[in-house]
Parts: sequence; structure tokens; C-alpha cells
Amino acid sequence: MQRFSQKKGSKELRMVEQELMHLVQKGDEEAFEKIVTMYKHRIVNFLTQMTGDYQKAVELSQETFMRVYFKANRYKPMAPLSSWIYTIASNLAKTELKKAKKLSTVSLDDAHRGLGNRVAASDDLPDSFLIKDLKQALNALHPRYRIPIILKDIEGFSQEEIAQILKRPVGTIKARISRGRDYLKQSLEKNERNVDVSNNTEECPHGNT
Amino acid sequence: MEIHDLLKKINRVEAPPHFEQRVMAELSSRKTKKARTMRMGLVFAGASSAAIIMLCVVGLFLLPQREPADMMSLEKELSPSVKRDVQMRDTEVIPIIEAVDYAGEMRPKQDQPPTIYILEHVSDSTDTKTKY
Repeated sequence: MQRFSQKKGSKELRMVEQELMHLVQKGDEEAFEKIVTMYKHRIVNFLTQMTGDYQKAVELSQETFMRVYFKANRYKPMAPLSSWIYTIASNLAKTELKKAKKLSTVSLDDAHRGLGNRVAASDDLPDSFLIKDLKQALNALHPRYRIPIILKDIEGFSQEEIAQILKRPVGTIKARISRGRDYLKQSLEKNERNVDVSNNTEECPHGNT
Repeated sequence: MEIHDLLKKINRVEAPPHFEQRVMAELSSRKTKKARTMRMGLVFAGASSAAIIMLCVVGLFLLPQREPADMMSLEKELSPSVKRDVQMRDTEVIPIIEAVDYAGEMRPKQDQPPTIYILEHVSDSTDTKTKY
């Protein structure tokens, strides 16, 4: 179901979605429930990656669907339904992040320092450690870069769709994705270097190499 | 390994079980709340308009209005001095005597050349010539 829109005929899906939305606009709760079923996992996953908190993500997902129902009349069938739902979800996530003051307090350097605190057992990091570091680095990333990266690399949207969701030009989205990936790469590399240094220090605590 | 490949390896999370039921329960609760708010708004609007209509009705039809006959009776209720004035106004004609000083209107004689009056006898019967 998660990649349904890309794998199966997207036109058919879009027609089904638009019919469902048409019914929701008339107040049909069954159609609304179908939309919830179609999108619940994707939205919960997206918001979890955005906020880093599963419970919060579930609450925000619920709020997202409430807005889908009560603001159904604002939906214009020109855009795919997924774009519209993700726009609502990303706006809610941004508001939540602002509330939590995550926007201004964590810089990339802090993220590097945080990552450097972890001591690895060996030079070759297992995937799980790497993924954990990547998650931390992603959480430390400014939402300006984090949202397009999550939408592109985790949710599988195209750059054009992301531009539609975030209401930004495609060029801006491309630049943000590229810059965001660079930041993540730098964080991971810096982290690896820190791990190497800490391993060496453990071997020679007084620095006599 | 590229960053985007690593990002794809991040575990996806799923919605909790009975998520739809929770959403639908929340939806019905919000609908009820919204309907109540709407009803309260309608009640308030209705009450306000009824109050305004009542005020208009009271102002236009129920408050005592002064007819001309009422004005006559009002005059009867006036104090004696005012009453006398009113009576005088209605019955008597008060002559107005105005003192006018015409002396100021006259021009002094000295400023003007003396006037010569030529008296001419006018008669159709006589042929006497007039000498100047």
C-alpha cells in the first residue's frame, strides 16, 4: 500500500482518490475512513521521521486526518491527494518543531559533537550503528533540508511532487536535497573520524603513540 | 554507500492498531463539538435579533407619542405667567412705536448751491412772452 501510487496505475488511483475526496466533501465518513486506511502508515512514518517521536507522530497524524475531513472543500483535484495530505502533515510537523524549539537550538556542529560521543567497538561500523547515527544526524538537520530529504529518500516522492507539497520551485528542492545529503555525509564522516580518534586515545591514553 | 541508500534502510514505522477507529471517534467528537458551537452561535444570533426587533417595536408602537390634542393639554398645565403670555400672544395686537430721527437724514443747506425757482405762468389763453 505504501508505494501503491507509484507501482500501480497512478491515474486509476488518482481517480479513485478524487472520487473518495468528492464523497468526503459531501460528508461521507466511509470514504474518509478509506482515505485514512490508505495513508495512515505513510503519514505516521513521515511524521515519526520528522519529529523523532512516535507518540507525537501518531497524534499529529490524527490531526492531519481531522484537517483532511474538515477542510476537504479546500482540496483542488488538480494536485494528487497525497501531495495535499503531505502538505498538511508537513505544516503540522513544522509547527510542532517550532513549538518544541528544535528549529533554532540544534546546529549541525552540535549534532557532530553529539555523534562523536558514541564509542564504537571496531573500525567497521555495523549498519545498525550507521543507521542510528544517520537518524541522529537527520534529526539534527534543519527542517528546511530534512523535509525534502525525508520526502525524497524515505517516502519516495519525485522532486516535482516535493515542490508541489512544499510549494517551492523544483530548483530550490533539488538544491535543498543535495545540500542536505552533503550535510548528512559530512556528519557521518566527522563521526567516523571522532570514533577513530577516540579509539586511538583509548589505546594510548597519554598520547604517546 | 550513498546517503540516499542509507536513508532507504531506515526502518519504517506503521500506524498503531485501531488507528482508524481512533480517528473516527475523534471525528465524531469534533463533529458534536462543532454542531454544539454552531447551535450556540445560532441561538445567540437569534436572541440578539429578537432583542433588536423587540426594542424597535417598543420604540415605535408602545412608547406614548404626543398628539396635537396632547399639546393643548400640555399648555394648560403651564405656569400662570407663561399661560398669560400665551393668551396675550393669541388675543392682543401689540402696537409697535418706533422713534425715528429724521434730522440726521436731512442734508445741510450750506453745502448746496442756492436753488432758484422760476415760476412760470402757464396759460393757454394769454400770449404774454416770458422774460428771463
